[in-house]
Amino acid sequence: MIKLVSGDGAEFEVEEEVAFQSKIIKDIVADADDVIPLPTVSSKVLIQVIEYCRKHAAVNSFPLSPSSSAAAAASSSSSISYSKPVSDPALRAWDNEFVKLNNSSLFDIVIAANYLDIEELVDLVLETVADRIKGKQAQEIRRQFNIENDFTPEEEEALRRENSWAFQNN
Amino acid sequence: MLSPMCDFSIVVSGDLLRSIFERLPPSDLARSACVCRLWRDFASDREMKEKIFRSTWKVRRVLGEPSSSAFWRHPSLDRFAISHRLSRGDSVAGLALRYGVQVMDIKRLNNMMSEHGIYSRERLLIPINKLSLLIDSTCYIELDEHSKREVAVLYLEGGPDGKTTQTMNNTIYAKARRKILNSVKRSMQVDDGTAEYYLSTSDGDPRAAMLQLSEDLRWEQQNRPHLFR
Repeated sequence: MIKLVSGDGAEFEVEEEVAFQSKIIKDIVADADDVIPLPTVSSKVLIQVIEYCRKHAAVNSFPLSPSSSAAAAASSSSSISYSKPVSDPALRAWDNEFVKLNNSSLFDIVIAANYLDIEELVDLVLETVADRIKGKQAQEIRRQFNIENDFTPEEEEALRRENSWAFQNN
Repeated sequence: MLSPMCDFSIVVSGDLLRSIFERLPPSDLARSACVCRLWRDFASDREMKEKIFRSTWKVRRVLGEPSSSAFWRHPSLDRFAISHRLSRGDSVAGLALRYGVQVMDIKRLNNMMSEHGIYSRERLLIPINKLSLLIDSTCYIELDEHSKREVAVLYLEGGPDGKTTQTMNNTIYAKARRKILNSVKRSMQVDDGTAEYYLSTSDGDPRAAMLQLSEDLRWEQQNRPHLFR
């Protein structure tokens, strides 16, 4: 068992294969003891990250049945994905549920995942955030991510003209 | 209603923002550039635009700098062309046949009033009608003096499908090329196709071709050592 300590002092005991979803932790464990302080990760975020790692560690340790991997290959070939998609359809469905969070929670997770070097989780969250931008107008994106419009009216007009091609048919 | 601070910019570092933008198609990236100054700066970064251009068209490398950033997001294939170096006996009709394109399209792309225009030129741009030609290609952003616009030019001397190399061998030009090709082949110890590819990317300059080839080989040795065991 490995003990993870969050920035706010909460301790979490997890199995090695769960913790080793993070490459950073794997490296740290190789030359340190089994208590790993993670000062930049809050317990709230760490709970979520551990939940993700637990699920993925469990699925990754069982080989896929041939039928489910074939189905996954068929369904993934039609969609253009940035990174290699998670091959197990059940796990993908689980991932889709996992990221049904508000934006600031997602950002907290992706920052932690980036720090802990959990590549699949970083990909999953960034893909989710990108999907929330796709097909939206600038104003909708601002509202979605709570971003202030800091352009002068002139700047905005110029940008709008320059990018007018992207606003057509929308 | 909106918070006074852009909390997104505090939370999300430049690297993360960049990796989010890399996942967007060109039109969404353009709309993102209109969101706020921070987003605009990242979304209009050259590196970002080139990356998206490369992944949209599957080209391997883009060389040269377009004069307008509008170049990067041009949505259709007519931004691309093959550079065909003219040799004796070439005619517009013959080239149209060889590359499988329309005579009219060649003339339009090169701003030719008549087919006689071919005699005063060193090369013609051939329109590209197959996306597959772009895969893993190297394209050069050039302002063509005749077509009067910026084009992403592919050099694949010897014809788009290799079969046409035979007919070209009859010309004096092709013989000279053959000589260069052979010397590149010998000195770098590679096969015809490889030598031809590097010659085409260097626009026939053997020195530049060999330089590029040795650079690529070095890269390959460093990054894929198992191939050289």
